[in-house]
Amino acid sequence: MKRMGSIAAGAVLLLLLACYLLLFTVDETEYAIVTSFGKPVRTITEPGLYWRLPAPAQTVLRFDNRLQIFDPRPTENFTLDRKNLVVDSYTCWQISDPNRFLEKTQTMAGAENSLAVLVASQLSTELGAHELSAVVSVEEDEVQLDSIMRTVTERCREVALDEYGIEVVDVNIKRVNLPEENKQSVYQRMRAEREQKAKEYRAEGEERATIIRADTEKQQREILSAAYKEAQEIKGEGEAQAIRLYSAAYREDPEFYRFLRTLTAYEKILTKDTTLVLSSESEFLKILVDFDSTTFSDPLAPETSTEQAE
Amino acid sequence: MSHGRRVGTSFARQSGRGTFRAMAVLSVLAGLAVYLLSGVYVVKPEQQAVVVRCGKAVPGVVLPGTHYHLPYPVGEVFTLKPNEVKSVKIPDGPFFSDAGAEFITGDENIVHVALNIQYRVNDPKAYVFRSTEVDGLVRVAAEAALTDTIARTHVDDLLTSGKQTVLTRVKGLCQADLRSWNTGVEIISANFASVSPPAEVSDAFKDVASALEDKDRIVNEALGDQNQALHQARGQAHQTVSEAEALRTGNANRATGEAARFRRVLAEYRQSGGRDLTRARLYIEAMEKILPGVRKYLIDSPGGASR
Repeated sequence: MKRMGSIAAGAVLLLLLACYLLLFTVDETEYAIVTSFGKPVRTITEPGLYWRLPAPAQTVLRFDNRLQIFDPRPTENFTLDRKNLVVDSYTCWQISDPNRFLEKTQTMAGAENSLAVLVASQLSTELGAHELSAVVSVEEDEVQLDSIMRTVTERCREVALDEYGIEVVDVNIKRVNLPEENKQSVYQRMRAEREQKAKEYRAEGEERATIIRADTEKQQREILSAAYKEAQEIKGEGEAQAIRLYSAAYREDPEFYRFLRTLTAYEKILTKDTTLVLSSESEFLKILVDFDSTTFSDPLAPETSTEQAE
Repeated sequence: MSHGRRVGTSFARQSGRGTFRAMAVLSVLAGLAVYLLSGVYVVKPEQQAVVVRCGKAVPGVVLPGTHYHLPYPVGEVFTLKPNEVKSVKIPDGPFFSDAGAEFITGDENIVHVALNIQYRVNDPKAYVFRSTEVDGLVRVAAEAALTDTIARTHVDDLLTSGKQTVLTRVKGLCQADLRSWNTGVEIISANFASVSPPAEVSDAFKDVASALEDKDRIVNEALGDQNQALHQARGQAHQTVSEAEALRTGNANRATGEAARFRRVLAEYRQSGGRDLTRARLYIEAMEKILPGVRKYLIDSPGGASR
């Protein structure tokens, strides 16, 4: 009974030891290579529980299969039209072929060193084949930054997979800038553009204001002249009506009208500033000098004359 | 005595050994229990968990509640908060500062832009296993999207009305990258913290803004003047027409009145029989009115003047 217990305990311990020595797990986040005295014998790319011979007969090498970001220092590149650009790129990559990676690269730092050279050269080749307007432009059909970066990614991917066992997932540009020494001239150009724009806006304002003022004057004249026209028509109408009324009345006895109207006119014309030279021969004064009751018949004698004095 | 002592000793030894064994078994069992119980874990209401067994992820995610997994090293649990909003700032710097990074616009202007990106986990497994630096992936994806978008945008659009268009495109590009990389996160929002021209030329940009205001002001002044002038003109026009109408009425009335007066006088004149007499009377009356106010010279017929 006692012995059985001891044996059971021993067996359990032995089993645990065997587990420890013979079993190992591969995580979701890694690939593994089982090596025998340095020589790879088995590659494991699926996570799970696996067995091996105890060390030193077999050892397990693990490789992180997660997505890595490689963010090198910005590099200066020339475009086809000899413009200098400071390009800050990044590369997303992961280990895809652990055997090749083990063979060629071994470490993550080694992989980054290889990528740095590869990406920089592909980037400079591809940017050097395009003009600046392919990177930076307001013309939608000129900008090819995305296709340029697809090409760079594609080329890096081919090389890296064969050479380093790395999958380049994406190479892209984080930031494009101009070299410090070029910025002053850019600022000057920006300032000139802004000044021109400000002038343009103000001139536009003046232009519209002038148009509005001219339009105002035009409308003003239209309104006033239309009113004048209407007024003249109305006045003419009034005058015509008056003439009609007058002539209708006066036609009944024109001679009498002329007589009456002349008398009225005299009253207005002959004022205190008038000097009147009257002949005693006139009908009106005849009586004054030579009264004859028979001759006093027509007071409207033609001898009476008037003249204006100063 | 000694025998009895020996018996006693051996009993004591025996019972001591038994106790020891019992203790050992108990402690082993207790240890085993503690070990097995270490597999109990709680997922809080705002959390979800991903469970790993022998290195392999167990299908599905674990929802809030108390759960059990096989203890370490066989099993492992990763908890995360899928609805937690995480933020990334561009450029990388203290979160309260709005100082932007330099970007180049489509018309080769330099602008300073600061962007905030918010994201959350939408695929816990991918989030846990795909990368160690999801923040970094979001940042580079957003930065690349921003560079690409600003490189196609006019500086005026970026500074004024085109902001939303830029943000929508940045969000779309960034989301597409993160999805193709299978990072297990989604972008909630992209917002500018600041967009400004470089300090070296900011006064020139401000002058453009004030030029725009000047433009509006000049135009509005002209419109105001127009309004006033046209109102004035309409008033004046109305006055002119009214005056003409008054004149028309006046003329008509005067003519009617005078015609009526003439007719009355004429009627009397015709009736009176002695037409000459009436004419003479009218003439003399007129002379009476006129002559007192007039300077007169009387000439007698053969010659010689008298006053």
